Amino acid sequence: MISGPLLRHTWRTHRVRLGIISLALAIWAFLMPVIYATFGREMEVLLESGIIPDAFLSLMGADPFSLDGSVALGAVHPIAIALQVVYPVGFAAAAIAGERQRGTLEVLLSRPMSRRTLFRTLLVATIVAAVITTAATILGTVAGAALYDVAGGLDVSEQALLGLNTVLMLAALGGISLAASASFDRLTPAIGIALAVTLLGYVLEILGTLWPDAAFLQPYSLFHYLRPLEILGGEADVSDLVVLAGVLVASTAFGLWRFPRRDLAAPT
Amino acid sequence: MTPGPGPTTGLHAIRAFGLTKRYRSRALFGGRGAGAGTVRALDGVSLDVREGEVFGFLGPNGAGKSTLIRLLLGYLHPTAGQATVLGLDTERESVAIRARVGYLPGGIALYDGLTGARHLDYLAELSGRPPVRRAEICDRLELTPRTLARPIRDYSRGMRQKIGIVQALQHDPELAILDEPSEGLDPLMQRAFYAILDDVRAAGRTVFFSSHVLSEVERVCDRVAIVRAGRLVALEDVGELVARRRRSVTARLAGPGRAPDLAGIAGVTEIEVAGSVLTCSLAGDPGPFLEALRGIALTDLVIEPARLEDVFLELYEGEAADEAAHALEDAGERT
Repeated sequence: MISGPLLRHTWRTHRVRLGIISLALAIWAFLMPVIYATFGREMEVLLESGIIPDAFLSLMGADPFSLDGSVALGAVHPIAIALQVVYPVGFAAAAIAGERQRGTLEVLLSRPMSRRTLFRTLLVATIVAAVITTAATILGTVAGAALYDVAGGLDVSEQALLGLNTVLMLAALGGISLAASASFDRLTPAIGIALAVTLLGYVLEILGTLWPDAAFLQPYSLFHYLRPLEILGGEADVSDLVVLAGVLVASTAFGLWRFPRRDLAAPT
Repeated sequence: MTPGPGPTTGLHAIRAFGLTKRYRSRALFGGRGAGAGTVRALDGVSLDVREGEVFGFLGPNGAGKSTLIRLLLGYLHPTAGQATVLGLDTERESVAIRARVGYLPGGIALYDGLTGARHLDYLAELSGRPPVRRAEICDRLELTPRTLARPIRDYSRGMRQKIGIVQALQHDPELAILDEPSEGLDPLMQRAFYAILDDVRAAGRTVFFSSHVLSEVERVCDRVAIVRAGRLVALEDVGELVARRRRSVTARLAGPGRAPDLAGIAGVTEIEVAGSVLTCSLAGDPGPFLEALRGIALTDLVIEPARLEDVFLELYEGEAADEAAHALEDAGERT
């Protein structure tokens, strides 16, 4: 069960920020098919010339200047990732520890609401934010493709699967961040853990992509299970989604176990 | 073994049995360094608060007042003992308790971005009960609609405290738990707040009132518990507690006549006579003392009124010794 008033309050508080981030992601995603439609042919010729190093091409995906390649590159680009993780990391990590640090958790928990309900409500808010930002990204892609007359190259089911993959990755990050938030009285350690999981995961994934000897580290990164190129290329692997869902379930279970057992001493 | 709570009689708003809370004090490096050990925040506190009374919970900062409140509301889990609030177990039925209780935390924090009105609406929504008393309480505390339309970030400390009082009482809870409620209120608003408490009491509601302002407790409370270093040291009617307090007496004899023989008079101790001035301490019923003075010519007689403050200070005289004993016990647990 979740708390309707808390969810509505969270929505009212964050809707403008969430709207700005969604708009930014939509514009970013809009640009990917535009870039493909505008420069795709010329860049393909450039690629065939062999002037771009293989490692760099590998980082961008196997075929960055096809339509699918452009969209996939847009999905894993640091700018897109940074915008997408604002809520799963920033909001979720601050959601409980921030209220606790400010002292407002006192008032919230003086109402007839269990700590588990509070946790579940904030998790739902985090996942809803991930769905909205992901939907904005997909809408941006479709709009860009439609405007530049390349929409025929987009597969609806693959876009939906990519959306699910993205939402699950963001939800898994959100679950970890919220569990960290429920475990501390101060914002700093909660944010620190959430940022460490995100940044370290991203670095491991990039490192493994650029340096084959470090590829064994990639499975430890949540970003390894975000597979836009494979999904858009028709090679989706359900196990990636299962791993992300597993992380979400495990982190949620930890948070729901830990938070009610904690002593919430008077704020100092 | 701590005795368990008996059946709910409907006469107790709060019952606590041997309620104990110890914190593990962590030092660096796994809690094995200097400073690690156990901190006793509350030690075997048993008390009952009757329905319909205003109950004062007294003690200086760090004595365990807020710890008890947090245990009652489920913010903390007891190390030992148990408690019921409105007949519900604080560990297993905390949510149901909070549905029937209004709580004002000490030094309340509010959502600065919301207006006062929006804040109260939000908390009423979370309570799931209509704010039936909001208008009346806001009126008494001079929180006008114009004030409530301003964002809380613009509020002074006193105004924030007023919002805290309103949010705790607006849904007419069966039990109000107020942690230092008059903190930050000016004297006029304190008086308005006491009038609100009188109304709450008249409506048959119960108030559990934590404070270190002794005059306030004496003014509004029916009964009082005093906590010292986590232990309950007194639990009585305010009137009875004060009446038992030794009062200082000064009598001026008219002329150099013989001083009255007060030795053996019930409640009279520390008798001293210096010239025509007689001083002594008087506890309990002053009747026998006044009877003994019958026929003695006096120019003046002053019996200082007993105050809760005196009782409180008397009970706290041994605090330093007690704290030292606790520290020794805690050090023993660590080794």
